Amino acid sequence: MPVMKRRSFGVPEMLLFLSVAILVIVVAVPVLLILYTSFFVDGHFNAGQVMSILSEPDIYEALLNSLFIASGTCIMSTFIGTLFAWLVVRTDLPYKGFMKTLFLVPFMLPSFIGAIAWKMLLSPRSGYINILLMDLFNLEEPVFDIYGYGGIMAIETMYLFPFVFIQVCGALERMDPTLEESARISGASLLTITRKITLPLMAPSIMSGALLIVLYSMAHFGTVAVLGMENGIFNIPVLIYEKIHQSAGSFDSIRAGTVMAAVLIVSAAFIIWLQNKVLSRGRYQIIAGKSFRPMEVKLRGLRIPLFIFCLAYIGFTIVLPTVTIFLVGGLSTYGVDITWENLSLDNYKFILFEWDLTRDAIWNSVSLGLGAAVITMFAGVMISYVIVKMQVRGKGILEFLGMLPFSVPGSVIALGVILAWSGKFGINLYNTVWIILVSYIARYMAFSLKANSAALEQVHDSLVEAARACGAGMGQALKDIVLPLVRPGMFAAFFLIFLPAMRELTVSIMLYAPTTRTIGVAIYTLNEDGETVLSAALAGIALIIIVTGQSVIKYFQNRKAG
Amino acid sequence: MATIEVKNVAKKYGKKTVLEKLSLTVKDGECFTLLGPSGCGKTVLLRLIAGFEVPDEGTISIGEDLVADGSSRRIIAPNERGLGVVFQDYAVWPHKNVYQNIAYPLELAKVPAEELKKRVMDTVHLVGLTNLEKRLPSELSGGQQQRVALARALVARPALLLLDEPLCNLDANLREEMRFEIKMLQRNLGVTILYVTHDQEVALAISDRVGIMDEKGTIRQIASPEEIFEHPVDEFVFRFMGVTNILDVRIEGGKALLADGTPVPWLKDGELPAEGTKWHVGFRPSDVMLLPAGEGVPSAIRRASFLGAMTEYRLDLGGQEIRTEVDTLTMHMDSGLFKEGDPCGIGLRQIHWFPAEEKEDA
Repeated sequence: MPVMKRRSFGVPEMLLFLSVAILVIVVAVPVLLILYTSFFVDGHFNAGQVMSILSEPDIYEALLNSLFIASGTCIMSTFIGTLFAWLVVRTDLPYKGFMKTLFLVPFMLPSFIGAIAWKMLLSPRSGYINILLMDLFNLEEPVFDIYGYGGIMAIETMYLFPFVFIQVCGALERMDPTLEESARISGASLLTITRKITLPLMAPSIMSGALLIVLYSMAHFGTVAVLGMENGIFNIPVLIYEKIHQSAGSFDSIRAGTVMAAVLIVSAAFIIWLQNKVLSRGRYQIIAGKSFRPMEVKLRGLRIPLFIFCLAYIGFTIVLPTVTIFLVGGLSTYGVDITWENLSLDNYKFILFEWDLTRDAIWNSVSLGLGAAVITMFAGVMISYVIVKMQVRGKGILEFLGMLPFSVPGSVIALGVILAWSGKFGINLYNTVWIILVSYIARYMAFSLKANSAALEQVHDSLVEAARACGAGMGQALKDIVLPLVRPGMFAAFFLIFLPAMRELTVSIMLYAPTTRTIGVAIYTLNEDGETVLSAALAGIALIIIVTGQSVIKYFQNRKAG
Repeated sequence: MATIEVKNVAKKYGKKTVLEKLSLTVKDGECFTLLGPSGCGKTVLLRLIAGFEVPDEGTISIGEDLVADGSSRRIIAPNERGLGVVFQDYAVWPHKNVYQNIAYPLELAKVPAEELKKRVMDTVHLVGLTNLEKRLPSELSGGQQQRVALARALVARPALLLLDEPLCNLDANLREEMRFEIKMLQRNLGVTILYVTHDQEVALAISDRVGIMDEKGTIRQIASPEEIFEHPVDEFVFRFMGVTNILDVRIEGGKALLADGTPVPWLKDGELPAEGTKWHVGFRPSDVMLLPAGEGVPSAIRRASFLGAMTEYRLDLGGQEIRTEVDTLTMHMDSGLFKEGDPCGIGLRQIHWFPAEEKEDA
């Protein structure tokens, strides 16, 4: 007779404990340390000191700038994102499917590389477009100045608007067309319907996308760092970086950093809360979960002009900067004319095969990306499994901890990791590659949890139970049934982590040491040091790696679907 | 030996009690159907027997083995119980083809390759999936996936087969075919079957014995299908076995009266229930004889619906509505069809008495 086993003991509790432990160590401790350091002085709660730090002129200015830039970016992105989403889903614009894919391309392009490219094109003194225009029209003054609030907002918009675009596209596609048709039957004109029915119904999705943009923009480092320095514009993440970078470990600057990080944490939490509220209120009957064929607005005479406008937008925001990066990467010195004689592959060769600094950076990024992706992928599967599939007491804590990674901005993670891993708990990883690895894991855990939970939701419990009934033990059932079925989710998680890690800047810039530069750090510092052509060449190589990776994912996704 | 012995089993989810002190015996080699409305806890009982849930109280034995003991919260793992289970949603593994799905239990049992292949193919033929072995579940119809699930449960020749509404997603023809096949399999292979469903037709068709469960998880009656149909112990069981007519009746001075005072005239043997209480009289539409006006109890046609071979009538009886179904062709030959508003007469073949206060449960 088989042995009777106590079911309440064992594996589930162990997995829960492990999952909680991972999230606590990787995410919760850093965040708590930031909050503790910012609010407690010598072990005593001290809100007064927080206020006095916040009212220091530079910190106050950073706060205002973050808010101002985030608002501007949010308004512009929301407008552009909604407009393009509507054009692509609800009108008879030519080549809609293809256009939709193109509008999503900025998702994979690192915005700080875009900022560097635009600096080359539009900087007042040496920007190619400015020079071209000045030559053409015999102007004394440059036409554009990218080094201002407007420039920063415009560049951030180019790279962030897909967040609104994708949300609104989804909602428009799922909207029940009968809602509009019945308005039409009641005699409303198309314009009235769009204004009175479609837009209000879309409002929750638009709002939620807009909030995401505020969240990302407030915590965004690259664009402001690249374009703001010239005129002394900085936001919270940039100021945190400067404080930490220049402090050489002085406690005052670390405290100032943690106070600003606390501001980011609180605003992120608030934004996520608001977004959930907006989305849950907006879930009325419009989303039927089924695919409809919505009625199309005939653009008539505007069809071709709008099409050309879309193409121009894509050409201007995606193709132009990308081409610029590759071309400048081929120049011997920045500033010379772009002609065949001046172009060569020497910089690329130098970067890839000769220069230790860039070779190390590429090697660091690749190994960090792979390491973080593999670890986070497996940890994510386990944590998602406990959250989605297991009935175990204390799961609530894990669900809460699982939400954390979604709402913690990169610079917060970096600062928290510095606080947690600089010897406070007996382990000092500062200035090693390991501290970057730990922070990548924290930063990308959200992606892994999302992809793996989605995959696990698809695996119905009865599939595992069927295997158990066939004679498989729990481990065997996991190996034979669950693992093969969630493999696509794990695969997705891997690339969702590996690719962004290849171009990561916000976290790495705060944690790098001379030997632990990543690609992002190398591009940024080379650009700061005036090595523009080498920086551009390295950026070009990063772009090639990223685009190749994306194509691999697309290929596998299509193969799976087809 | 695969008797199932469920003793005093209780199961709660949070504060909701699903099963309370439930006892049940399924005999070796019989096909036992647990019939009840959805949400009554019948699936929970099946999952307890399969080992996917642990009882809070009571014990479960399969054959000689005690497999679950609520007092110690100890169970034997599902994979060590030697069962075949067919799930309501089939649970056919989407990444394995038909052959791989069916072969899996034998692979786990480390059956030698030659024998494994033979047994898988035998089972494939048995459930009529020949030539579909290489297909993935996504390339199969619902009925075919159902057969894969059944084959997978049978291939290891378990002594006990647990079936959870395995036919409810099939269309009518296929359902009939499959329930016949399940019955044949059970006879040929001698397995014990516990079948859980809310469909009384399937239950009557394939079971040796049926257990009727109510919403509270209590078993009201366990008997053969004929016994349950002919002699339901209470109104719940009676109502659950298909469309029924229930009339309010009161007993006064040795007579049974309908709501408007019309005496119930068809009492044959005078077995009148106790005086003073309210009673229900229950009968099936098929027990109603529709007679020409002037014969039987006077009545009138409220509504007539022509359904093809059968015609359904709603009749007025003492101010209450009753339903009957008659064979269209026979009616044509006998007295012609009735139209709405026509007067007619009613006779009854069989009636059941139930205490009236039970109505709330049903």
